[in-house]
Amino acid sequence: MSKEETVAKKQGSRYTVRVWRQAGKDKPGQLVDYQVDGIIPNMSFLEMLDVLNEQLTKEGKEAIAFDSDCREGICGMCSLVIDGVAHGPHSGCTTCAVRMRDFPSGSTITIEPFRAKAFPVIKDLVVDRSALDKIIAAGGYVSVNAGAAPDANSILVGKESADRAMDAAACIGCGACVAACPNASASLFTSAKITQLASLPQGQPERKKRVKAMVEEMDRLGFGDCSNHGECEAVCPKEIGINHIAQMRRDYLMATLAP
Amino acid sequence: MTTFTGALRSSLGKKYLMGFTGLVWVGFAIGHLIGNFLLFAGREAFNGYAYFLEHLGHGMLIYVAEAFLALTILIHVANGINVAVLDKSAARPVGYQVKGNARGRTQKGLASQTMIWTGLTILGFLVLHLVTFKFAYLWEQVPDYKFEGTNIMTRDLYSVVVRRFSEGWYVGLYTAVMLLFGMHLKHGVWSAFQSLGLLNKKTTAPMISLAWVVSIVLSLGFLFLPVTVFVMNESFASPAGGLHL
Repeated sequence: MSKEETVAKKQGSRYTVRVWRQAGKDKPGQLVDYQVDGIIPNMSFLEMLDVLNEQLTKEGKEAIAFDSDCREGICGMCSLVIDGVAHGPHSGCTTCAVRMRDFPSGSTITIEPFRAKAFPVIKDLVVDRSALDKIIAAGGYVSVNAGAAPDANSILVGKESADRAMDAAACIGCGACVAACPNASASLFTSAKITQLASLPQGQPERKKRVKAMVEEMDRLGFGDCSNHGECEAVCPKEIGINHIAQMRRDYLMATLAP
Repeated sequence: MTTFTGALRSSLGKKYLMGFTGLVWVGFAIGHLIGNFLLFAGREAFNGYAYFLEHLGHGMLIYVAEAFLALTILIHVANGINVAVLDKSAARPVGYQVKGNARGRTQKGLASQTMIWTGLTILGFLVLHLVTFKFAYLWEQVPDYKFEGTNIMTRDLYSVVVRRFSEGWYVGLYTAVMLLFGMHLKHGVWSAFQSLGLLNKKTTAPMISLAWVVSIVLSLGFLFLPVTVFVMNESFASPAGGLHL
């Protein structure tokens, strides 16, 4: 153990971490308790898991599988439901940006994977979120000629529309909305992807076709019904509002009433 | 090509139906509450109002209204059970071991999570309510009432209501259900507008506040009547009826 590590171990806190362990897809799983030492308050939640994994590796046990990539809150790769809340107790941030100072020293932390029929567990805390990609593939793009670079300056977009589009475009597709929804609905994700394009001139030619295709794909993939709990908005690391869901409902109604 | 009827079967269609039928019943509840306050005006006024409703449009309109209300509540209940029981477990077959609520802008709470239970309780109460008031004449003696200065006879619905509200157990039950009804409306009213796609970033928060007001007014309004009739039973049971202080 290096000097630095010894100091960290002395200063750091100890936590009991209850982690969902599952060997593979469709295998049985269970919560397993681990003790982790030497956690300093400024460590991120994923760094705490890294420390735990190093500890497990040294003990000859299998490391816990979890998703991560950028670790700066912008890629949408990390997930985890921490003590029953997707992306943990800190609002407006992803799991990787949650710091251990949010958890009292010595406390027990339960970590479960995102749960939904459309998000099957692959291993431990890793789930397959490709269903979200399928919703985008159903129509979350502009396939007509939207002009070349100079047209960006000639097609004017109002401030309110630009802001709405930008708010929706902030979605990083992490799937926390689905995980947090008591019904496992993907309404917030789908609506963000729809209104992002519906708010801009480039999205207009395919607007009706898009909303129908994406909503129907969302249903087909086995996501649940929205009950307006608004929990999705509260856990969304990008704080995307349920006003986008209302917009999606308007658009879908109009698309089916006046195709 | 998706048609409108096809769209009603989608997950969003369920929301449109739920929101619309819910608002129909909120509208009915508001009208019903205003009508109920005629109990304070006395026997003549209350029975006159019942007579007026029963004879609207040559006595046909009430059947149209009843059929519409029956259809909408059927859709509301069937959809509610479908969403809260069947779809919910299908979309998340394996649940969380630890349940938590996010802080901040969430509307998830006791009211939103018990919609199915408060709803089914209200449905059960509705059946009891119809049996004890609307269809009371089928199973108990309902006296006749002759309007003052006329030869028009009608059932004395006023006496049925006042007699029922003199029973403590019924008033207690009524009060408890009206509090649950308020809880159902607290999440239901704003949620209906959201479901119909009528809200935006600016209107969501005011609508949530308005839903609070509507739920409190309707809940307390409905339970105010039986409690008052129970407490002031002597005044209400007098021949002229109504509330005399």
